[in-house]
Amino acid sequence: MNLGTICTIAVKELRDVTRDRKTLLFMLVFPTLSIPVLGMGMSRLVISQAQARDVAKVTVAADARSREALLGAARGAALSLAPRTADALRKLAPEAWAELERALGALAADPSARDRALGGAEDLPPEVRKAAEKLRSALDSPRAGLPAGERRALQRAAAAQKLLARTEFSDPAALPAAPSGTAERLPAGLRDDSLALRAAAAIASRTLHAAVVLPPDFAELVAAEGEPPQVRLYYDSTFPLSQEASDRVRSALDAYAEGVVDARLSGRSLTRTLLKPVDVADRNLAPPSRQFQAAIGGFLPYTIILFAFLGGLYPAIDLGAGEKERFTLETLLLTPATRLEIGAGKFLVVFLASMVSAVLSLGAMAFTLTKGILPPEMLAAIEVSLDARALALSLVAVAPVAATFAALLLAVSVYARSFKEAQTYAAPLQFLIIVPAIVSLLPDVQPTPVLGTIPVLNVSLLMREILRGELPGTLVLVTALSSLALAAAALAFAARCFSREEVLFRA
Amino acid sequence: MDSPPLVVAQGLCKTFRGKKRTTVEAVREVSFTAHAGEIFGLLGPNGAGKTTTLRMLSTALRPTAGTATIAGHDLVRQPAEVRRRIGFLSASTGLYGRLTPREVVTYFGRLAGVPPGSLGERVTELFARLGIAGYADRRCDSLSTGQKQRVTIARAVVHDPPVVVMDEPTAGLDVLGARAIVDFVAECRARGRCVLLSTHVMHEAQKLCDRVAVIHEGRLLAEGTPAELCARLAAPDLEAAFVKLVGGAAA
Ligand SMILES: Nc1ncnc2c1ncn2[C@@H]1O[C@H](COP(=O)(O)OP(=O)(O)OP(=O)(O)O)[C@@H](O)[C@H]1O
Ligand SMILES: [Mg+2]
Repeated sequence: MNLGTICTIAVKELRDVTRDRKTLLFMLVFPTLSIPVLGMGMSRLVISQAQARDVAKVTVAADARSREALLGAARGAALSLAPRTADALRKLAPEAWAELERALGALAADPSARDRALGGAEDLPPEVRKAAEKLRSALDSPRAGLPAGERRALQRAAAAQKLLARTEFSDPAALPAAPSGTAERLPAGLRDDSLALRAAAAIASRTLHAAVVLPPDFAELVAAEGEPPQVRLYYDSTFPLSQEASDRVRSALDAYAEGVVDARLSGRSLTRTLLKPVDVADRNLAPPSRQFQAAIGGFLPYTIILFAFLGGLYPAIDLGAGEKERFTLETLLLTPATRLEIGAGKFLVVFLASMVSAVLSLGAMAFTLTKGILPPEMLAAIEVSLDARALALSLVAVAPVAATFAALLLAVSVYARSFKEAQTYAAPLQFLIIVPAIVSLLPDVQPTPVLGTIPVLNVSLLMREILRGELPGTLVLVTALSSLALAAAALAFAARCFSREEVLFRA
Repeated sequence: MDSPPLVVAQGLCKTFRGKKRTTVEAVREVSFTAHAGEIFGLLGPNGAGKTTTLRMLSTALRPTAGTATIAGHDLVRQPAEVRRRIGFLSASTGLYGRLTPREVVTYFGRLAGVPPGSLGERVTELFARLGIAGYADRRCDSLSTGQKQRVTIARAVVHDPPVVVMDEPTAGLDVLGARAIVDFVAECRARGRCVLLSTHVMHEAQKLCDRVAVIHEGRLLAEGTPAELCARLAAPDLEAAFVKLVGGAAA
């Protein structure tokens, strides 16, 4: 083996390959842009879908009494807290309080109007709602002196009221009769329930989202403190909007129930602590780096390995099958350069492309996770901590996998008769590689030395450990050895393909 | 001939294994000798085994039996030495489209072991001789067929090999393109090189070749100067001799 010859070949192949737009695209542009773009797009989609559900108009079938009882409960949830709330607020934010009184104007005479405003009712004039909003945010501050539980209850009540305001109610009597066959598809206990039948049909035809029935004497039953009144709520969880309608009704009722519990407790001079005999304070001892790993860390090795593969794919096909396709291979093989030198020179370039792609994708990933491409709420949720040492080490770890890919891809490419055939062979190879890479996404797979001998999987596991802040010596050694062995075997195979007449002059 | 023999083929055989255990005896016991300062032509109909013979002589294919020496080096035992001493080109050999002629020829010069100090000079000189200078720094895939063929020649002889092997060098070229190649081949002879070429174009072979060998179905049917062959077969020209030979064998 002559190093000068290998260099000559590598330099020429690098020049050749970097003049190809497709290679540059796959090696440079694709790994750099795809992660930020996908990350941004996905987070947008998730957030906008959640928002869309919040503002969606849904229709709930409820008879007049049920509707009154439900809206009354929602209002009552806010009202139950109102007296103490009002007191606290008047002291805490006198200016905002005065502003609300002014905005209410004539309505100020009606005490329930103020309570409804504080409860977040949406059918009031905008200036009233603005003043009420201001007061409510004062309420959120710990200085308001309200117990945390109460503050939360108030927020929930306000939210439930807001959502109910975006809910339309329809008359269940007006629901069309269910077509035949509807009953058979319902759960057994509901087939004789005529409202269930008609609601199911209407939900399926998307004209309705839920139906609710409250007992006529709902408020009295609650006041009697006996058997709780039973509310029947019909919905279909497989329709997102039906689920949403059900959630809205339920959250209004839950908020009301909480308020009632509070009122009952304080009527007996008891506090909520009675209902919470044990308070568990859990302290998570996992360092942030490991928390990150648990959240999305498994995704990182997978992505990097995938890009290491994709980055090497086009150069490899170009350097092997491309030479046959362009009828240049024969002349190359007739130079004094040995097959192994030719293979090694080409291998270096594919390996480089693979590494460049992996490094860029890792950089793009780090950038996406730390530099505000993702919306802040998402970043907060995944608690990112990527330290430079772990990033550097994972790049070292990706080297053996890139070497393996480069050698394998080159072997396949030299074996193939044409560009197209090489692509056909590369597709199943890609599948074979992705499966072990995915294993790093499973948090329970332990990095045993035996798994360390499995190519790709070992690097995937090793990177996961590194990002966890660990560096298991045995795994490093076994991974390095097995990757080297595989890369050497694949390279030898590629070199042998170069020397085989059947492969070179396959008719 | 008193000039030293550069190519000595002895009983070259090549059998290809095809699909379903069929075998093709592409070349059977071909022996000949070609000397320095000589143009040796291989003539034969399609599928006669010309390309296969030339590929064996250039070490691309390993003979099933027999061997050959190139400038004294055995092609089976010393393929690397043989490769240093031959230049190979065929009508179908391609160029690296994204590189320029200068880059391509320099690359092959380096691989063939031309000393880096003299390589630049050698490339410039070759380009001037072959008329490539005008497009030496354009990408190869933007060149015409004739321009590409000249670059291919420059690529094949950049290391100034004693033996040049050409498989149908004029195929697909127009009159001017073919003429340029013919001139180049004649020039090689003048410089004492040995040129081994295959062709279908009989009048070209008659004018150019010092000696020819006619191959048919893998076998060497006749060998000699064009004039000798014509005389032996009582034919007015090489084409008529060729038809008599090959047609007679087919009958
Ligand atoms: N790689 C191969 N595998 C199997 N058979 C082959 C292979 N290469 C050539 N042959 C067969 O060997 C025989 C000789 O082919 P060859 O290419 O040497 O002929 P040729 O004289 O160059 O013909 P042409 O004038 O058409 O170029 C043909 O029958 C051909 O089909
Ligand atoms: Mg041929």
